[in-house]
Amino acid sequence: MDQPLAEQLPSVSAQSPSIGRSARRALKAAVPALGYLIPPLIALIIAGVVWEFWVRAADTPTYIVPAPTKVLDRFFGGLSYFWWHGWVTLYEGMLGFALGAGGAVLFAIVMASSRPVEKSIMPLAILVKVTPIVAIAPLFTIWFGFGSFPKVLIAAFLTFYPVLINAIVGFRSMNPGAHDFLRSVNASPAEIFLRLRMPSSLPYLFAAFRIVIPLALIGATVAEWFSGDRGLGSVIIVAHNNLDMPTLFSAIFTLAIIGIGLTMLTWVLEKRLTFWHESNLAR
Amino acid sequence: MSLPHHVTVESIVKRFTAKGGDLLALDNVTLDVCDGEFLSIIGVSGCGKTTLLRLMGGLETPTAGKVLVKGSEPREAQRHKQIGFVFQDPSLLPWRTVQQNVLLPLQVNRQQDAAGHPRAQAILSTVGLEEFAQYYPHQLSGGMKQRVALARSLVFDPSLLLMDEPLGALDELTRSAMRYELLRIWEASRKTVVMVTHSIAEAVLLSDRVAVMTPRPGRIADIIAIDLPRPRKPGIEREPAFLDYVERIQRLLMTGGHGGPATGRTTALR
Repeated sequence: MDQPLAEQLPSVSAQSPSIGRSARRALKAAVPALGYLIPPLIALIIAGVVWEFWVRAADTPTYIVPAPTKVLDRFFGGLSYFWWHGWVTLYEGMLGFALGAGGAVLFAIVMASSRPVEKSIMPLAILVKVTPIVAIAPLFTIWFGFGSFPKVLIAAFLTFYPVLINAIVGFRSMNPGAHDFLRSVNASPAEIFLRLRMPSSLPYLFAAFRIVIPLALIGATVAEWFSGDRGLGSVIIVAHNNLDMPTLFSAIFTLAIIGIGLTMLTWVLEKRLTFWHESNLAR
Repeated sequence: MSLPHHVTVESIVKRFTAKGGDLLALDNVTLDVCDGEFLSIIGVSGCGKTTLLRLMGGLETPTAGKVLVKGSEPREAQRHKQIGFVFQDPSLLPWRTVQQNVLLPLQVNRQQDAAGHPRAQAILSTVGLEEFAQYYPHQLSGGMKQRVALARSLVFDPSLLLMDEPLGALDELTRSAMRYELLRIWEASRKTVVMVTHSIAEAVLLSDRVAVMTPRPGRIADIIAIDLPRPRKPGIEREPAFLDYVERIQRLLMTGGHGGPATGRTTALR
């Protein structure tokens, strides 16, 4: 049985450098990400420790400010509870975002192609924008009840205007030479839109998405304050009424995690789709 | 010239209406481009030469007069993809690779077939970029981008190539190398070419005829036939005949074609 072992040895030693190489490569790829993650994480931990000591030293009652350990205890104790309500808010916010952004892009296509249409729709869009959403939210409850729909609608309202403005600018900011070239080879307006206007507008659209995705989440949360018993907004209101600070802070914590996740997802998609844009080339 | 006319420009007037007042860009311009010839339009900035080129390609419509490409409207030539445009700015699509940029005109109107890829690759090797097919425009130099723009206009084999200062954005060294590149490509394909340029040497080196324009309003001062043998080789710029043409065009540009010592309607060299 000595023979096979001897035969195995070289193969193992031949394999190990390749394992080492791939591990090193993975580490190299992870290092920049760690560079982004570790400093704020350290800052967060320090802030948490200071907070904990301050609460204990001053003997602050839990119904005013809870200690971080109490919040974490509540959060991890009710993980499925917060996850379920978080999922409701995430779903409402993102469905609203999709509807609002989709509608805004459709309006922008029409408005970017005709100044008269833009002039007639834009004042109405501004009207939607300047009306405080908290003023409309109770109305939506009366009209559409206690389900998800009014929340989705409010998230969509908040999304609409910034996406509309950026999409119009984006659809118009294309390389004039590329436009001339496409015209000279008999490209139809639809082809010019798909091959030139739409890709040219992506950096503008993503700039809007970065603003609007957190807004849609805020919209859904605030809408949940007014009606219903689902979602982190209603968790916050109930916890607030009961002075249940650990639950309230855990709900905020859950919202923050969802917000970070969405922001990172947007960032990755943006890098993928607009790698060619000046803003991503300048280093 | 007895060759059939590829482009006919007849008594064109082009007026732009702007807030500051109307601008007469072209005033009664008449010009014929023969089949297979290389014609350059030269003039100072703002003399309307780009407008004239855009009219020939159907990107502008004349205020009066008419433009015919092979006997019909430029729009008709566009429909049959008979016009290849090259602009000063390469105007490539930055999200497409070099190869995808070259394939773009074939994809328009869904005309790309199985022959598209090999054809794009062949054109890329004509312009010396076969190894850069999978690169993105931002990874290329200015001269390389302009060669991609040229390949993009050659890939669908248009009979008419319209170039608006194609080498204008390049540095002097790249530019002189690209001139010979352009000369080589044209001498191989023999398309009808109309090129707008600022450079007299470039116009003389490449062209069969040079149309000299004067500004405000844009008019053609004279059309000079460049009677230099082809193929034109490097070093031709130092030959006396070449320098005579350069000097003659220079004088036309300075005097605007009115009353200078070298003016007149003669198209031949003294």
